[in-house]
Amino acid sequence: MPTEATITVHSLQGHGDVKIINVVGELDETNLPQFEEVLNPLVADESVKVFIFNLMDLKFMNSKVVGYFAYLYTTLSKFQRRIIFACYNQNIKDILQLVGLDKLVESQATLEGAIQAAYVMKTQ
Amino acid sequence: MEKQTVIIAITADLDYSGLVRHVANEVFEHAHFSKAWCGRLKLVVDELFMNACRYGSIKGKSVVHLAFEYDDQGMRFTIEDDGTGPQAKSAEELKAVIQKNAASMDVTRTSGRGLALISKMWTDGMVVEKSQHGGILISFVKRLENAESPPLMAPMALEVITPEPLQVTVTPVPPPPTAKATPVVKGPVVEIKLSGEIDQSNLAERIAPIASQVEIMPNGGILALDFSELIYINSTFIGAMAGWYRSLLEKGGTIRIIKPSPQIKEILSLVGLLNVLEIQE
Repeated sequence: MPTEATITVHSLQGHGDVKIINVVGELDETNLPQFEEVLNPLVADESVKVFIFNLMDLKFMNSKVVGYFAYLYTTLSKFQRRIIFACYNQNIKDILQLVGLDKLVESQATLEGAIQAAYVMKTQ
Repeated sequence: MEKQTVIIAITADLDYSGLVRHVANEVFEHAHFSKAWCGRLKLVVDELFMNACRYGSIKGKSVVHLAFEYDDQGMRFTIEDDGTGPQAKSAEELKAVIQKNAASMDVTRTSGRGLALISKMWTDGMVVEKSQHGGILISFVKRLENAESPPLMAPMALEVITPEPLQVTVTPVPPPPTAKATPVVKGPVVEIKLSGEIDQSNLAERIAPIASQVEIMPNGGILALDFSELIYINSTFIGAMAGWYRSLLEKGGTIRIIKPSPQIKEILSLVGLLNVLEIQE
């Protein structure tokens, strides 16, 4: 019974350099490779400038996954590429706060807010 | 409520992590923890199970033993492995690692990123000892928010580090001369020396002068934090530092960390700040 998560990626209409990554379910060490498999090609694609993670239906993630998000932030921010977390719940907020990642990565309460923030980032 | 006990013996396989989390959440709910605390304690259990499987057990062969004991006062959770994993440590070795890294809370660098932070911040005490099953026994206690009695178990006995009192001195330092003939407009470098430990007990008084300095930093200003005598920083201070960094970045400035210890560098690395801030060894 490996942990299950459904990960889908969409491009923002008219803005192929903004990707919305929807994560549904739970993320831990057992399915982190699956998550990395989806994300790594996008990280390698330098034309992708903004990553919006829609975490509305992410029920759980552990420290391994936080570590991967920290890696993503570090890797992308070096090249002025951005991450936005959207719609995360209290459990996700707790662990992000615990390690301080919430102070580094911009977060938005709604997906619409995240998309708006992505527009602003692109114009900066 | 009379004392309740739930005991589980489960094959050491991370594929059962979801099941363990589900059961843990059910038990914490039954013990009347709030929804928020159920989520946090579920994460602690997940981290401990992950470490028992990865380091103390042979996948698919070993058995990991979990026990939840709870009453009106709170919860005691215990997890034990058989110590057969190729990277298993003895309880004494793990405690030595814990003591060595106590200042940075990097308790289990060899047994799981984040466990130290999580256990330290979210439990009322953790104990590491030898298990009757051959490996390590780790237990933690958590009191219910409205419990009035003392904790069920004393906090883990760690080596107490008594630091020198924290000192903050603000010393304006002129910017270094540029080698180029073309003048470069840069703001000043403001150096702040920190020493000892920064934790919840002294956080506010330590943050305030730095935050005030950040507010008045001119464009291009560099906030140089001298960490050469700093032993420990907690996650809230790291968060504050990240906030200062963003503020300075908007004004074309940055933060320079001078001579951080390996333990502090490890924490900065964990949250991704190590490659963002300027580090001066």
